[in-house]
Amino acid sequence: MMPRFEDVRVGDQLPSQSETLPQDRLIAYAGASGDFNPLHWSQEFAAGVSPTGGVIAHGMLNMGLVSRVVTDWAGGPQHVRSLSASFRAPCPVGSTVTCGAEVVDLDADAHTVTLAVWAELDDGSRVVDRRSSRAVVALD
Amino acid sequence: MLAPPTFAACFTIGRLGDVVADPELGAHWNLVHGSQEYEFHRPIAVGDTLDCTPMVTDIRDRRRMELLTLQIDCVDAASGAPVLTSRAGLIFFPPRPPDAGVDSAAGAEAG
Repeated sequence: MMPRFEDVRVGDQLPSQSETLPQDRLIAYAGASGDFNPLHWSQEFAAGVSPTGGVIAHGMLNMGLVSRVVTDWAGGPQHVRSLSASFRAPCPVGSTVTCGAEVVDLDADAHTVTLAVWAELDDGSRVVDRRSSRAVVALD
Repeated sequence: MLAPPTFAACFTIGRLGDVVADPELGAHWNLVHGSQEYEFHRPIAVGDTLDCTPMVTDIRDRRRMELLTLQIDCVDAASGAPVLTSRAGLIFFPPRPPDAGVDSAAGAEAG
């Protein structure tokens, strides 16, 4: 059941979602998005340019996982006014990412909710950095 | 039927290659996607035809890297009404010799 604006409070946490991202998932995302940068599938290429020295996941794949946390809660894409992601830490292939969101602001006039959103690795690495990644959602 | 918000990647990120490969820009593929912002003026729906206009809005140096901001304005092709504003932050690492280690880029933003 989608939330009503009057029931939302600053500090509310959305249900988090975790997913492991093996190489085939990154290749599938390359095909789906059209982003074929070899950084996401070629170890040989990644060894020369990657921040980790290895293949890393697309930032947009992680942004998509974050987006799903928001749309599942809000009741669909039609509620999303904006979505931003700061890709801080690299996400090595094979990582398990946990995506979440927290209400940080409410606009009673516009009936919009601002969420801090994130995707983090098990070691706390900020793949999508909650300090500078936001979603603005309109609720009834 | 509505598209998920980051479906917009298909026509805002996948096409970044066209910009990066433009010889007049003089860029290269030693890059990562540092940040992304989508502002939805209305949801994207099945059947939409969108006209998207990319514009390089900023290029700056940070330490030994270069940061490029690419804004893409997408409008409804029939009405001209704004649908989506996309802002991508790209981080270009410095060119390095083939035998260089990987340490120099450690700690950079990456996505």
